[in-house]
Amino acid sequence: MKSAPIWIALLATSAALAEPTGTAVEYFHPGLRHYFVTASPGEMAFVESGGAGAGWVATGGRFGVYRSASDAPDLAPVCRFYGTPGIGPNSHFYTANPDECAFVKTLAGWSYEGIAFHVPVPNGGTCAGESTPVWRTYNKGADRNDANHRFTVDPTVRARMIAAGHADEGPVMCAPLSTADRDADAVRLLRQATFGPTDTEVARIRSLGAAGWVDAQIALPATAYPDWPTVPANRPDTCVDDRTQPVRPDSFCARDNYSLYPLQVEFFRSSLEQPDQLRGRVAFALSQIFVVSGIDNARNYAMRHYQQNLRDRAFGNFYDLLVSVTLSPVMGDYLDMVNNNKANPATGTNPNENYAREILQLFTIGLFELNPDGTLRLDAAGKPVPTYDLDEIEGFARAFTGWTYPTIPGASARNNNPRHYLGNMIPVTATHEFGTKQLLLGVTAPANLAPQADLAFAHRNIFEHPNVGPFVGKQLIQKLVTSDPTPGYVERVARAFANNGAGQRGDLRAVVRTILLDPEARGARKIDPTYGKLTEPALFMTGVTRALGGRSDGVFFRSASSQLGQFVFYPPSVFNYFPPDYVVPGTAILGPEFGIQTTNTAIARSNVANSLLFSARIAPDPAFYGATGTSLDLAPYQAVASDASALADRLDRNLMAGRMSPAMKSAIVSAVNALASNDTLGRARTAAYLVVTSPQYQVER
Amino acid sequence: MKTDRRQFIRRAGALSAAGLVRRLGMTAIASAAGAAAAQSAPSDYKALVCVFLFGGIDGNSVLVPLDAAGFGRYAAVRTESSGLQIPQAQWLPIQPAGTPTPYGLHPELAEIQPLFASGKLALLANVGTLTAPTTRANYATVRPDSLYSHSDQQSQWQSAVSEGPSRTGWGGRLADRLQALNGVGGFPVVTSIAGTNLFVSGESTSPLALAATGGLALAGFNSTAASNARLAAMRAILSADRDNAYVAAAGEIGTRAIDLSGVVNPILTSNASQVATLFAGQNASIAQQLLQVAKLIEARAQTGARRQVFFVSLGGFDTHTNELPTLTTLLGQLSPALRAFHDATVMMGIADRVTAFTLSDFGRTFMPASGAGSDHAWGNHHLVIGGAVRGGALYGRYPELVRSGPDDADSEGRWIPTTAVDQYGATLARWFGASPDDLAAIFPNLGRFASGDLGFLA
Repeated sequence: MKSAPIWIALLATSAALAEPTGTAVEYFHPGLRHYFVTASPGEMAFVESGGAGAGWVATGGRFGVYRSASDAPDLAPVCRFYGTPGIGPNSHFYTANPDECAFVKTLAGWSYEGIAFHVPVPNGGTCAGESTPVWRTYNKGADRNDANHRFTVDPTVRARMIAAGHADEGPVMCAPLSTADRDADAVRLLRQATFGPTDTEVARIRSLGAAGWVDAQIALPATAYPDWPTVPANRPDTCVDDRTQPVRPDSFCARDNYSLYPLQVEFFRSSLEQPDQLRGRVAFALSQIFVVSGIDNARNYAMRHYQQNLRDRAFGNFYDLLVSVTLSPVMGDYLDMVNNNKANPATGTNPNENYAREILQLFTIGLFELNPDGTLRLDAAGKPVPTYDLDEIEGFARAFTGWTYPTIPGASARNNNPRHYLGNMIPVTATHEFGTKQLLLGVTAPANLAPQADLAFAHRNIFEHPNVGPFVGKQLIQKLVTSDPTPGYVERVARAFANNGAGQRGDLRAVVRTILLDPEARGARKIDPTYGKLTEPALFMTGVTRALGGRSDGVFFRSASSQLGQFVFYPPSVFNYFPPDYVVPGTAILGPEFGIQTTNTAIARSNVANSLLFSARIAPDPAFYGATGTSLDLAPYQAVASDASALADRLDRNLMAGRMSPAMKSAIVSAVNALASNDTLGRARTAAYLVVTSPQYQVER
Repeated sequence: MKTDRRQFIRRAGALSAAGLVRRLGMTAIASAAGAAAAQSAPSDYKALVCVFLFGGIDGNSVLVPLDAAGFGRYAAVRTESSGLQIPQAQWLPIQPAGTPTPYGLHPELAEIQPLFASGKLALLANVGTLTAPTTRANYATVRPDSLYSHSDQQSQWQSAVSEGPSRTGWGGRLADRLQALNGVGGFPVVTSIAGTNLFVSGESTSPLALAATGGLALAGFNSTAASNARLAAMRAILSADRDNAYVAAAGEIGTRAIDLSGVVNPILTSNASQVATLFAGQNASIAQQLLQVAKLIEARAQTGARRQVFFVSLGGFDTHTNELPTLTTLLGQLSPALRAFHDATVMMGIADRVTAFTLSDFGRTFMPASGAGSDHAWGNHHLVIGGAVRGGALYGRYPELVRSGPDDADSEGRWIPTTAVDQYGATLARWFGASPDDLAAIFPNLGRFASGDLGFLA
């Protein structure tokens, strides 16, 4: 693919600030519990060598500055103060505000040290162009003569500091983003919003901007899975797998119709290439919230329709999506709403509770009442408040009676139709429960509603529950951006769910846009130690392949996904491969993907990397018609591979958004240098293997 | 935890090229750890094997009274027309000691039925999650959090904590307390053949997790200098950069995986197992998982472990519809697998040192649901198998099979447990070697119940 036309790049460049000419670096002293920032390279060396006393460690926090007032237009000088020895705190303070600077100069406790650097300043609280706010928080230490301020461009850090007791002093400077920062942000956006970054898409984001790129992605039409033929529910004896070579398109009748093999393969093939990458990612996320599984229903055409619906409705309204999921015969079969009949005194059976329970617990509101920021609402005794009890479950179970499979063309309709998965389930008055039903929030569904009206009433009751925005919004943040989002982030997304800006509730387009354009997703380097997420296995494989110029028919990834604990479209239960509330063992932080990260799957990830990297090509599977196999293109890396450092740098930029640490780079360089300098393939493979098997790469942040 | 792992690495061999190759399982020779440990099995070995039945198995279809009155109560609710009745003649009869009337086991449990008569299988009736002794009268106020929810009830069975969240499970806490028996930095107490979960997570210990088949080895390394350099770099990268919690967690798991692969891969890929033939012809995952467990027990001299807790699982028990055919399939896999495993422990001469037991999300409604299934409920019946088991008996109190009766939480036959998970787990843990102090730490609410030893283990 071509990169963006040059004039677009020029337009974007014209709006950008000049490159920063200095970097402010942050240190922390755990004993003093003080933060310290400096933009002076000499002072950094002094601090790092222990000159300022033992114990100062770099936090990873840093931001661009200008060293001279003439480096860019409209810069403000930043005054630097030090606590006057014997009077003031053992702390430094910076301000770009001339009034504040003049005022602090009048205080005996602070000694003015001069102009430290120059920055643009916020205008009305926002930073213009491609600069990012520098937030200041304060430890409220003046009373104990221990005042200390933290300056950060990471809004997650700011939120965590405030949660830990710091005062919020707002944005006090603007930090220019360097070209490297902006490239890194583009790579980060692509890891959040696509099946993996490519050079082409990085260039497109750089030309369109993040918002423009997201909007362009949302506007793309949905890629369609092949419209595989509808087949009988039970495999006819004549439908078998014929292994005779050469294979024909219909050789594998059993495999291709009565397992999800074609859909799984196509998922991976498509994810590497489909233009509507964001839609594909959101659909994949939705498939892990509205879970159905090939373990229970492996009819390929049926699951195709279910998954296509998630693609088609990924940016639609949540209410419509929810109803479409409910009425899908695949879901009806999976969670037993199909042929769910009203109570039968003769047989002594009750309506089935399965769908009633899981639509509430897993798809929409969860078990406990939530605040708008996703935290638990507590009662007077400090306990969480359940959202429902058995009465509501039985109420919804009864509301969901009276639906059966669509009638097979040519067959006569019955109250309980046999399995058929083309089209929606259809209502059956005779099996519907017409009494009143206890629903959520004290609402009772009136008696005598027809199946369709009862279903709509029940879904509206769920959809209007205040939990839906924070509950679903938080899970989408987890699937796209970060495993343990701050309450503030969840609340901003929930607000977009509640109102898309045009008064509409449940607009997923607005939700996705808000998630991806939030300051906690975009901007400068993220340094909060609980930020980011472990890339889930399917996305790990597509990400490596896309980044390394790979091509694949999808066959290898299908089987490999099983080894990694995420056999696509076959989750072990409606609770998905891993739950959203999984806590990383030994910590208190959410890390859903760690629910399948074990000694076994960790090794398996490395072995997938080995298969991809240490062979010229994973051979085409002779049992797959039109097989092309899987291969990567390491030529761009071989081109620089004689220089181990340059090789590591290129991988760092393209795969790791510039997060490779000096320790990691040095390990890679020494491993690469164990190979002859003219063995460029071996060197490129070695370096790429070490990058993609590293936690530093597999955790995106 | 980190220190322990490093010490384990040191014990497993220094970072020589040969040592690396051994730890990666490239050679067929005994692992460095095995070579370091004397090649004799520890004399006081004990193992617990948790068989988790995911989805919530319907205990009402596993164990029923077979006397006329008792079976009549079963058949009155589990009507023939509901599609949920197993005919009286199909149940496998058992006669628990000290019980006046016979009971029946599910027809697919044929392989383990004889273990009841021979005293190696005990049944535990109506056990479940409880915050305190609970009755129909106080159920509205005394009850666990989020009853009837799969994920929460799984967590509570696995953690033995039913009020508020828990970050560890009782398998993991047992490991925390008894890791020293395997030596400081020794082989992990907990091994899961079914992924990670709360049960296996401790405060200071974490499990070894293995696949249901095959070994655990990094592919693509050999003994060349370049390969060794790449492996050294990989290990260095795994232990670098602790500035992010997720990077740190993934790095710890990766390091542990490489360390342990050198010990377990030769065991799991060896053709020398004597017990494997006992599982011949069993292709179900549960059988393969239990075979992996048996192989590790068989190789206890190589691992040097004196205490092991294993976790295996079988899913698919969420039988809202179509229950009887589903149970026929699943119990038809479980029963021969458990029998083969027990026979393996007999063959190894350590049957009295290995106890297998079942856990599950919850029991299911006695009242049938539309579609010939049952819905989420509470108390359930469980199996305990092993040479140390005082088998042939029914422990706990079997519920009265009456809707809205004294054991029903509501009107659909959701049995209020009369024995707590805490008591069940503590009985197993005490046998395993947990001291009273350990038990108090592992089962913090044990004191709320009458007895911490149900008596089913010698």
